[in-house]
Amino acid sequence: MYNALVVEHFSKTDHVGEIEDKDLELKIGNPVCGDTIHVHIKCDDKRHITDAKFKAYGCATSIATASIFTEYILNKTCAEVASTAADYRKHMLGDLEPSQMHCYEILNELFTQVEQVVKES
Amino acid sequence: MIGRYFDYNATTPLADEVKEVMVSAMSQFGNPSSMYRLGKEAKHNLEMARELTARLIGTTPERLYFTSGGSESNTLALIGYLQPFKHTPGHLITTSTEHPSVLDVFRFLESHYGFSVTFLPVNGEGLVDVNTFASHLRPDTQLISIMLANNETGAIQPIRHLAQIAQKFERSTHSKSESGIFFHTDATQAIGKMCVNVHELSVDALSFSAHKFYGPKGVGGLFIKDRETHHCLIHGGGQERGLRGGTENTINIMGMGKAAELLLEQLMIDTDRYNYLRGVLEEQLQAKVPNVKINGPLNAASRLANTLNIQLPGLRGESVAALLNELYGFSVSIGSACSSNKNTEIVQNLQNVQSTQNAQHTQQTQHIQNCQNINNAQSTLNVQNAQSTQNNQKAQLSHVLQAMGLSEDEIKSSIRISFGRYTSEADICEFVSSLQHVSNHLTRLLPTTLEVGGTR
Repeated sequence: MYNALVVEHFSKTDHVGEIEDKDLELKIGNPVCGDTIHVHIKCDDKRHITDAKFKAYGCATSIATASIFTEYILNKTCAEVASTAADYRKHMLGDLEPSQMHCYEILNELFTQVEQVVKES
Repeated sequence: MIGRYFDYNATTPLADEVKEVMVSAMSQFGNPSSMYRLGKEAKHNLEMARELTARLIGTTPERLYFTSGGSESNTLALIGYLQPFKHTPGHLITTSTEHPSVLDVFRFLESHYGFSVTFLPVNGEGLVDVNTFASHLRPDTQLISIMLANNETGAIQPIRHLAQIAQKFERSTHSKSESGIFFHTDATQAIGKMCVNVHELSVDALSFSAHKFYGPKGVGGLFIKDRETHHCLIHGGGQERGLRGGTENTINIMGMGKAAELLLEQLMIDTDRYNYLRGVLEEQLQAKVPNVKINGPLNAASRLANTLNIQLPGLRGESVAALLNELYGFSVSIGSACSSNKNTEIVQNLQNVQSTQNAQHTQQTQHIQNCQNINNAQSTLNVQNAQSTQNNQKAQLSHVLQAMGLSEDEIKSSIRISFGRYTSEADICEFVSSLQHVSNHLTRLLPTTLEVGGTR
C-alpha cells in the first residue's frame, strides 16, 4: 500500500518543526482533501538553504511528501531547487497508488512556490 | 501476527479445525447430485454441514440455503422475494446504514423498477428509532430489510421489536400474505459475536457469511421461513430445493459447517471474552489516548462487544492506520478512503520574509556570522488562489458515519477496531500503547494553526 520511501518518510521526524526566524514559508492547504503542509526555510545571504523544517496534517503519503521535499531542499540554493527537472520531481515520491497520486500535485505546488520566490528576487 | 490483527469485522482467520476439514474435503470430489456412492457421501457431508449451520441460527435444515456468501444471500433474499412485484412495484423500507450489498439492491429496485424506497434515518449512535420505523409502514409496503448489527460501528438494531411490529401490520392487496410485512435481516456481522436465533428475532429471512466466523470466504447462508415466498435467481440444476441452481461448493460448505459447529460450542466463551476485552480496551484508551470519541452506541448492550469505532480528533485516520500498520504491524479499518475522480482546489499562500543582516566578523573566526541586528522587512506576496483542477482524487466517506451525522473531519479522523477469538489482553494493551505513540507522533507534526483550531 505504501512504498518503502513513503514509509521511511512518514515515520521519521528528522525535519519536523518550525523555524522562528524563518526567511521563507511555503504553505499548502487543500480545503477539499484537507492535506496541509507548512515548510519553513532559513537561507544565508546567497539564498543557500541552511535549515528547513516542515509540519503537516493529512494522509500518510502527503506527510511523506513534505518530509521528502524538506530533505531534498536542504543545502541547495533556491535557484537549484527551482530548476529541479520535471523528470526528477516525478520520481521523488517513488511509485504511488492511484489514491496517493494527488501527492505529486502537492510536491509540484511546493516547487512552484520556490520558483515564484526565485522569480521575484 | 494474529495478535496484531484488529480488523475481525473485515474478515476472520480460518480456524485450524476448519482448515483440516476443508483439506480433507478436497479429496472427496463427488457431486452431491450423483446417484452413486461417491455422490451420496458428498450429499451426506453437505447435509451434515447444513444441519450444523441451521442449528447455529436456531432453525431447521430445510429452511437453510447455501449461497456464495452474504452479498448473494442479501440479493436472493430481496430480489428473490420481490420478483413477482416488478410490474406492480410498491413500497420498501431499509436503513441508510445498511451494507452496500443491501443498499445497492434497493437503489437498483428504485431506479430500474420504480419501487418507492424509504431509507430510514438513524440517530447519532446509528440506531433506528422504533416509532419512526412504525410511522413509515404503509399498506403497500412489501418488504423490510434492516441489518442486525452494523459492520462499522457494531450498533445492534432492535430487530425483534421491529420485526414484530411488521408482523402485526395490516396488509393491503399489494402483498403476498394477508398479515404482516416480509422482514429480512442481514446478520452477516452479528454471527459469531452475539447470539442469533431466527425465531427469537421473528424474521422471515436472514443472511450470513462464513468468513465472518472463522470459516472460508465464498460461502454463506440464507434462512427463509417459507420457501414459497422466493423465486430462484440462479437457474438450472434445481439444487437447494430449487432455490439456487449450481453444483454445491462442497469444500467451503463443509468448512462453514465446521465453523458453525465450533461456534455452537464456543459462542458463550467468545462473547464473554469479548465483553471482558472491551472493558480492557476502553480502560486502556481512557488512560493513554483519552481524547478519543466513540462513534456508535455508548450503551454496551446496543453494540457488538468486539467492535469499537473511534474518532481521534485532529488526526487523520488514514495516517493513524498507516503508521499502526507499517511501524507496529497492527491492522485496523478507517472511516474514509481516497479513490479517483474529484475536483480539488489548492490554495497557495506564500510569504516571503525579507531580512537584512548585519554581518559581524570576528578576528578569531574564519566564518561569517549572520544576524545580530536584523531588520525584518516583511513583504507579503499576492496570495494566489489556484483554480479548481482535475486532480483525480476523491475522499470516500463512510456512509454509515455520515448517516449518523458526523462531519467530514470527524469521519476522516475515525478508525474501526474489531478484535476476535485470537486476540489476547496483552494484544489489546500493546495495541493501545502503539496507538498512543502514533497519536503523539502525528500530533507533533501538526501545523500550529491547526492546533489552535485554524481553518482549513
